[in-house]
Amino acid sequence: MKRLLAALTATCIAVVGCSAQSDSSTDDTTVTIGFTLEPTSLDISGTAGQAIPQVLLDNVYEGLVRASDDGSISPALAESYDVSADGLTYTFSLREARFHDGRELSPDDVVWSLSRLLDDKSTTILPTQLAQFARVNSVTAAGNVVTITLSERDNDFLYSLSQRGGVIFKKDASDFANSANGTGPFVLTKWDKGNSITLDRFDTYWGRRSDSKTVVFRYFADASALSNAMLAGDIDIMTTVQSPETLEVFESRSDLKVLSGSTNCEVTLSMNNSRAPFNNVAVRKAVRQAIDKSALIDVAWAGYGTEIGSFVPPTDPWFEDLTDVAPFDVDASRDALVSAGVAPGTPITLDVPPINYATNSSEFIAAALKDVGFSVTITPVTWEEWLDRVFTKADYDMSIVCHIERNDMAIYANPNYYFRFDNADYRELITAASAASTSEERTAALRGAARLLSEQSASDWLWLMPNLQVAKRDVAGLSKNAVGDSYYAARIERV
Amino acid sequence: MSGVLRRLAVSGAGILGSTFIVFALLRVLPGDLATAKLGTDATPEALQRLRSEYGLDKPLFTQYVQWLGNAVRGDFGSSLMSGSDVGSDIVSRLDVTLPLVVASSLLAVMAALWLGQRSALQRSNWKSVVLTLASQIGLAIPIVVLGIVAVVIFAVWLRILPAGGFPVDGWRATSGAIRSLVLPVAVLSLSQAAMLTRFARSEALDFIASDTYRTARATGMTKPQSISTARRLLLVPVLGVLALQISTLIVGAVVVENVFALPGLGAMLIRDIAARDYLKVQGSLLVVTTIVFAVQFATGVLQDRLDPRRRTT
Repeated sequence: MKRLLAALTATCIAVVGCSAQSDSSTDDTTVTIGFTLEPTSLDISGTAGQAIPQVLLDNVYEGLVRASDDGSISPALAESYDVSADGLTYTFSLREARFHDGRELSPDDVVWSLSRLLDDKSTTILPTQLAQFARVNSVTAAGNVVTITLSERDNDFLYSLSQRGGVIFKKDASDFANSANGTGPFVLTKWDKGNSITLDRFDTYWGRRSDSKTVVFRYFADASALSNAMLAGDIDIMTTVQSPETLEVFESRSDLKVLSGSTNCEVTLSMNNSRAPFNNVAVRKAVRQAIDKSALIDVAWAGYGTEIGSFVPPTDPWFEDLTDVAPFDVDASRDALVSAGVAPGTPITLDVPPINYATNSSEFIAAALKDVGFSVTITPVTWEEWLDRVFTKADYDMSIVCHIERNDMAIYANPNYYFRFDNADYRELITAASAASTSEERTAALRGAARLLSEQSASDWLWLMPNLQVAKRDVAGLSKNAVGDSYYAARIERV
Repeated sequence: MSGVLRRLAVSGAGILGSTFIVFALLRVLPGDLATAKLGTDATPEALQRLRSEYGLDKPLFTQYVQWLGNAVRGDFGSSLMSGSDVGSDIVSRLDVTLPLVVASSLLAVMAALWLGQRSALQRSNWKSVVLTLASQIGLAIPIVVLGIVAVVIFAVWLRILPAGGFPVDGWRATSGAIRSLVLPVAVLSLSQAAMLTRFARSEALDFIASDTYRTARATGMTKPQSISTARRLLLVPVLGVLALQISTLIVGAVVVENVFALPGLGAMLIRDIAARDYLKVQGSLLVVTTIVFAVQFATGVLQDRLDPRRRTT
């Protein structure tokens, strides 16, 4: 009788336990997400390529802090953190967390993982990551507090910690290329090479557990195969729309939705500031006023771009809408060119690299510039030629390229960069920003720099590239923006 | 028998020669594994350290001999990029590519023989015109277009087959695996059949003009009966063309593999070449060339058996 009771109790607990787990916030569905680039390896810190952190960062591996979709930094494996007034000492209190193999996270893991970045001769860490952590002096632990000291202030240090270089491994881990033992909300259960990576919910995750039980990252080498899989309903989310003219097909389907978010990619119409007629700020401004950006975005990118008016994406804190600095105004443009002494029919060349945003917009720009008096020759160039002649030697008049790096305003501070923008005030502002001791100070300096850049019309910024995704209507919780390395999947669910 | 031995010797030499060519060509390509792994902004020192770690700074001939020695013993090494075992990576890809290529080729041969004879017999008939036209169109439409159209019809509109992909569990998910190969096999066999039919037809026309055929007809056999006496002979040239097609398809199926997002060998090879994963590319191509030579060898032997006249030469 006693035994029967015990058995019944056990069954009850099992049943109750079971039903308690299936609460409303989590369900047992699988969500399949389509990508075009597959990782070449799982080695997040040692092998180049965007596809690796896309699937592993924040999903399987975590850092001390995490960058959210809007670019803000929040605590992750660190429960809280503190930065000293001089910006040289960072202290992190670790939370209780477990690795996927069951072992508890210890401060030793953090010290071990981050110390790998201190050996600047390392071949197991990517050079870009070593460079980001070059100012780190020491990583030490006392109790559950980890202290990192820097040799000089680095306003991007927390962001660096949130990206692929800052992930925390289990101490003495070695087979990075083929396995991934992280602390994140998903366990990597299977990598079917050439096909997919399967992530399953980690049940003893420290934080809010993933909303879907299984998330499959499926890879399509061919962009049209990806589109077809979306149209056929084989996948739930298509993470990249490579040709915006295909959007019409998706928009016409009532079971699908198109999402447009932000990226760091500014489509830039560069003008050679060291060469006549573009060595005159009035001429550069006239060029900007000659181009109707909103019509251009309709023509070249199916209406999905954002006008920015400078070199800053709206997700950066120092963004300011500067589209009114040189608004579309053909008459003003013509007058400015006349008073700047630019003769009608002045020949200029537009070098167009082989990529759709550039080829889609070149004719429109040429026509707009002809309209105000230039005689434009469109020259298609290969990427090799572009890198050599335009980018390295700056032997060009105008070109179009998307600048994708995050926080890349410093490129305009380099007078030898292919823009050949040489402005001492701008350089001062950029220096002030990196030496700023508060984020307010930094934001103010960069905001000033962005305005100066626009007032000087150093280039024209055609549009901010949107992050276009397609999803089934019943799928929610996607990250709309693509501003960091990770494609965070823990909040994705079917509703 | 000496013919078989000679064929074997030629195949062996061919395989060996191709391994060397592949090895050399990979080294001639600009960029190397170190640049692919560490990215474009790696310092020369970092690249050099990685190269010496992987033994890529040793003399090329030493690297080649070492690799070949291991490969002959069946040890293809591990991927320089992901560390996974090259041999098992190749096997898992052949799981997809071989059924695709073999099934589509068999279908294509059967269709070609039948259609070829049909259209040869009905030379002046409208059916023949339709068949010839169909095979012309089949030859003219690129396989990519055919594939996309098939996906749009069967996966997007009718929703009776998947648009692509292969089950994560591979052939253990048998029905899923078969379902995902239906469209790729159909598309690949259509494009092969288009070409093979023309060969089969012209062979059949030659036969119809021959004394053998006339004799057969004179004995009172019907047209189809008469032509079927030559079925073995008709197969010989078709097999020759088929062998060539299979050889190109082992890697060439990549076009179909990409359209249908199949994890096949060709798709893997292209990625590995881009990543300069030397050991994997060398291993995969060694397997591919071995298959190609094996197919040619088997075809030669089979043709000898089918056509007694070939044996004397």
